[in-house]
Amino acid sequence: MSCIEIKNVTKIYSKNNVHALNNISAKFEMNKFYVINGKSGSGKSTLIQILGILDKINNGDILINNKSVIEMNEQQISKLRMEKIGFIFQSFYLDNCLKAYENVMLPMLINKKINKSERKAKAIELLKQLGLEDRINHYPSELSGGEQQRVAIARALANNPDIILADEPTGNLDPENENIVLNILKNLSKNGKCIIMVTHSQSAINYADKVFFMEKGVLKDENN
Amino acid sequence: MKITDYISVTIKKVFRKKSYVFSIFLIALSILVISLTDSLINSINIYFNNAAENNLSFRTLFVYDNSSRETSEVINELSSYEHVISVVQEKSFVTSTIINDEIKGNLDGQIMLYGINNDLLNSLVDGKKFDADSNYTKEIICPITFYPNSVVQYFKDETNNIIDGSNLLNKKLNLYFRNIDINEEYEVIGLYDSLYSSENICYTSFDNVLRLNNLDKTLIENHQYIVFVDKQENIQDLQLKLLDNNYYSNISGKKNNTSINKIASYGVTISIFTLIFAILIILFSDIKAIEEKRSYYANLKVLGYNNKNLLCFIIIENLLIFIFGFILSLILFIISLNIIKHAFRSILFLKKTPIIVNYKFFLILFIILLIISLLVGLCSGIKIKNINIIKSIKE
Ligand SMILES: Nc1ncnc2c1ncn2[C@@H]1O[C@H](COP(=O)(O)OP(=O)(O)OP(=O)(O)O)[C@@H](O)[C@H]1O
Ligand SMILES: [Mg+2]
Repeated sequence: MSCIEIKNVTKIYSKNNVHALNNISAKFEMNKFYVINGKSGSGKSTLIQILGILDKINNGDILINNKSVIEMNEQQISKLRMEKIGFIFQSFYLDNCLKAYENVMLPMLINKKINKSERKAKAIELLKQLGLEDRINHYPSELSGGEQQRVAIARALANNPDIILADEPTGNLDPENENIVLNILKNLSKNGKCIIMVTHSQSAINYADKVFFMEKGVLKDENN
Repeated sequence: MKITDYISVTIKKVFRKKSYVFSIFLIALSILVISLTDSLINSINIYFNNAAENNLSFRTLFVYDNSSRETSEVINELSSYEHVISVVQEKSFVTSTIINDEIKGNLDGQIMLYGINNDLLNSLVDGKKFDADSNYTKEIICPITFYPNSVVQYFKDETNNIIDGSNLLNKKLNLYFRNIDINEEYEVIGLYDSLYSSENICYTSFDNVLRLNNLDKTLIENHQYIVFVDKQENIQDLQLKLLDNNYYSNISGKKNNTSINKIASYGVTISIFTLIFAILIILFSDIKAIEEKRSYYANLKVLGYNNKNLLCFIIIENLLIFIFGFILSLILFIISLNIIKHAFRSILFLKKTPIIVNYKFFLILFIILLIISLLVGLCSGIKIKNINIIKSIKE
């Protein structure tokens, strides 16, 4: 069963009339690590944003858990994003005024399913799982890039979403940290999550269960 | 998401970010300026009112009787009026000139010597009292400040030349009474607060002045009486009642309010400008915050926060910054009051008047600024509704 599906999606940036996504369809399943590879400007980031309903599309449909999101209002979309989707970006977008565990707690505050008393323990547990047990009380400015990205991953996992969308998560990292992050993502997919990662790095392909290629707004299977 | 969650996250952010702390300080500072100005103006006003109240010449009525009745009869009748504390006949004042040069200084030397009852006299000054029993004494009470020219008004032009009466305390004044061509020495035994006086009035015992006037053969009996009133505010009432009974009266001294009004208007101007300044700070720090933190808010949206959550965040942040600023201003206010009290202890009006803290004013200020910061928060929250997440997050 697919957890996220796009049907004939077209995204045109009206400003410069760029067809960033050109009538593409794809299905993504739980338990899998998807890597979308492609040249710069091919539309990878646009696809990730569309998958995470961060932007509107011109045509087509997006289904999350077989439900179309096109007609949803802002509140419903936000709730869906909070429950089902975790984002990881090349820049970590951590809150510099909050400590590592507080950053991880941030998404939990809007999740009614997590009790107030559990939040901190849960955040610390996530950080521990990502090897940051010594960095729980650090501010982002006191962390290395790799550590910051791991905090961002922990934050993305805070509400235990089914889908992790990652846009060049290793773009700012050295090979060692790149491998750490890729291993984390790989493990997450093994533990049941659907990981969709876009990158132009070739080394990530080795981790993938399935690789897509993006070219001028068109998504291609590794087979064709 | 619960209010407490918003508050705890916001408090963390507010105290960990310099720009927030800066905003808090600016807000506190402007509220401080407004409230200090207000209470200083209030205090000055009260001081001037008290000073005028203390100054007997503002509570002195000249009353004309055209019924040609016996002096004692009229005095008895006038004394029976409400608010009248003392009545003496017109012969109770005499003009004289100070002639000891070392004391005269810049003065033209003219003083008015008023004779009043010893009890009244004693109520005017602190310190040494007149002997209530002795009715013949050459002791006088002088104003704290003598005006260079006996008709010069306070705050006008010659304030620099004002003579400090305290130098005269316990000294002897050699007075020349022109009408009767007599010199007499008087000891200055007390000073009274003479702010606002338009004449250099000294007080001595009534019998003393009566004695001097009796020496003046040119003086014509003219049925004029001097009535001392307990409070300034009662003067008008009394004048009306006197008029009902065919007594015409004139008030001796009139308070010159222009300088106080000037101070008050400066104060109001300062307050208004600072209030506008405070509002601008709230607006500016908010607009700046929104601009600065668009990416932060976009990031929260990525995490699943909806517009309502963001609106709450913005409003609570605004409120907290304002409330902390307000609390800080209260603390600074109390500190600065104490500093002012101690540093300027010697200044006349601070010695005599406690600085008035107008809590009602604080409350009004609080409510006005609270509403403004709420409104500003609401506007920013509505503005953030339409942000482009992807564009903003990259900022
Ligand atoms: N907000 C926008 N407005 C207009 N055009 C845009 C916008 N965002 C992206 N584009 C255009 O859409 C196309 C796809 O951009 P996208 O960011 O998806 O590429 P990408 O594959 O992620 O590239 P990179 O590997 O460099 O990140 C590009 O031609 C880009 O110029
Ligand atoms: Mg990209």
